[in-house]
Amino acid sequence: METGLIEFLKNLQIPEDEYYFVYNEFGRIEALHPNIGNLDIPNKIKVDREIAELIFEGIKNTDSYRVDIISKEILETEYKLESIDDVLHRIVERKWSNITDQDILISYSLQNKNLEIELNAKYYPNIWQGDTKMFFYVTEYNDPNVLKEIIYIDLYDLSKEKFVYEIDLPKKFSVYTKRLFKKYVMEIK
Amino acid sequence: MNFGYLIFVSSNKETDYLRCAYAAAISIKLTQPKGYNNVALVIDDKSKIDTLKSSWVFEEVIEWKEESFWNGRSWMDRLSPFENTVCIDSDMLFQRDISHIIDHFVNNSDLYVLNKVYTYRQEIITNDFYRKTFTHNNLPNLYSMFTFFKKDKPIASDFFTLGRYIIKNPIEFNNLFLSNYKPKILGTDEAFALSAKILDIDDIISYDIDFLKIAHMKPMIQDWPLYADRFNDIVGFYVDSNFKIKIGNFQQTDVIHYVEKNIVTDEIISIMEEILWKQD
Repeated sequence: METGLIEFLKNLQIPEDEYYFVYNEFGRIEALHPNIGNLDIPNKIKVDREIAELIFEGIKNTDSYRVDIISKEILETEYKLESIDDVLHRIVERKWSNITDQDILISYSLQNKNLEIELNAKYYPNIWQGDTKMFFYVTEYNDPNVLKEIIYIDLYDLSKEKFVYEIDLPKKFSVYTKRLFKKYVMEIK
Repeated sequence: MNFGYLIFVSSNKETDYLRCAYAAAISIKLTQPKGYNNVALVIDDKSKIDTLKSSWVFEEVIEWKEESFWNGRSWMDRLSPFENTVCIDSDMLFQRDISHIIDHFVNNSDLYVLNKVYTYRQEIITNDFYRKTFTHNNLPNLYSMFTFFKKDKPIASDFFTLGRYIIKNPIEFNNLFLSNYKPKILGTDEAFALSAKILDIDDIISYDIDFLKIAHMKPMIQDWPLYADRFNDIVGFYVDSNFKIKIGNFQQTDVIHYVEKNIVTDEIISIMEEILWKQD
C-alpha cells in the first residue's frame, strides 16, 4: 500500500496553469488568458508563466510584447529604458576591449600630457547639427563619482579635425561619456 | 582551527564560472587573514585551472563530475577538505575581513545557512519577487550562497543528506511540499529550505545575525520603481585600482553577490592580480 502511494506521488503530474497571448493579424497582443489551450481561438500563443506573472503584477503590460507573425515568436517591444551604460558609458582601454574600427578614439600621452579625441574619418562627410555636443567626464580610474574634468566638444568641429586638450593625468584614469556613437575606445601611451 | 571556503564550478559554454571563482578566491586572499583565507575549488575538469595566472589561490582543486553544477553543491559536506567550511557561490567578492564572523560560527554552530540578504544600499531585502515558492509554501528563507558547516556533525549530515534526496526527487517533493507554488527548478536554495523545514531545524541553523551583510544583486529586489533584467542596466559597477567596489555611488563594504557573471572582466581580474602579487 505504502509502495503504491509512493509510486503514485512519484508519477503524479498536477496540471499547472498555462497562459496564452491572443494577438491580432499584426502581432499586437490583445489579451492574456489562462488555460485556453483547448479552445478553438485563432492567433493564440503560449506564454511563459514568468511573463504572465509580470503582466498580472503590473510590472509589464501586454504592450511590452508582440508576436512576430512570420516566426510566431514572442518578442519584446522596443520600448525600454536606456541602460546606465548608454547614459554613462565608460570608455575602455584598447587592451581590454575587442573593439575594432572605433567610432571615437581617445588617446592620452603621459609624456606630452595631451588628451586627443578623434572621430573616425568615415563620419567626416556626414553633416552634423551645429549644436550637437559631446561631453567627456575625466574621472578617477573606474569611479565616475570622483570627477577630475569635464571636456565638451562640438561634434561639427570634431568632424573637421581631432581635438587636443592639455591635462595632467596619472597613469590610471577613466573617461565616461553619454553615447552618441556605438564604439568608443581609449589608448594611454 | 582548520577552516576554508569551498566553491563549486563546472564547464558552461555561455558563462565562465571558473573566472568568477578565481576572482572570488583572489578577493578572499586580499581581504582575509591567514588561517581564514584558504579556498578549495570543486571543478569538473581540473586542467582548466592551468589557464589561470595565479592558480595557487586555490589551496586545493578537487576534480568531481558526479553531478551537474547545480546539484553538485548539495555534496559540499562530502567534498570539502576542511574541518570547518563556508561554501559560497562563485559569483561573490569579499571587501573586508570577516574572520570574526567565521569565529562566531565555529564557536556557536555546527551548521548555518544565511537567511538575510541586502540591497547594494545595505537595506534588508524583503521583496519576494524571486522567492514566491518560499512565501507561498511557508519555507524558511535560506540562501545557500553562504553555508557554514562542520564536517561529520550529525545535524549537518542529516541536513545535506535530505537536501540531496530532495534534489534527486523533485517531482515528489514539489507535489508533497511545494504545491502552493512550484519552482521552475527545485534548486539548492529550495532543497535546503525544505530540508530545514522537514527536519524542523530552521531556527537552529538559520538564526538572525546582523553582522554579515551580503549585497544580493538580483535586479528586481533592489527597491527600484522600474523593471530591470540586470542590475548593471540601472547602476554602474565600479572597481577602482585599490579593489574598492562601488555600485552606483554606494561603496560596498562587506560581501557582494553580483549575480551577473560577465561583470567581472579581464580588466577587473588584472586589477586584483596586481594587488595580489604586490601583497606577496
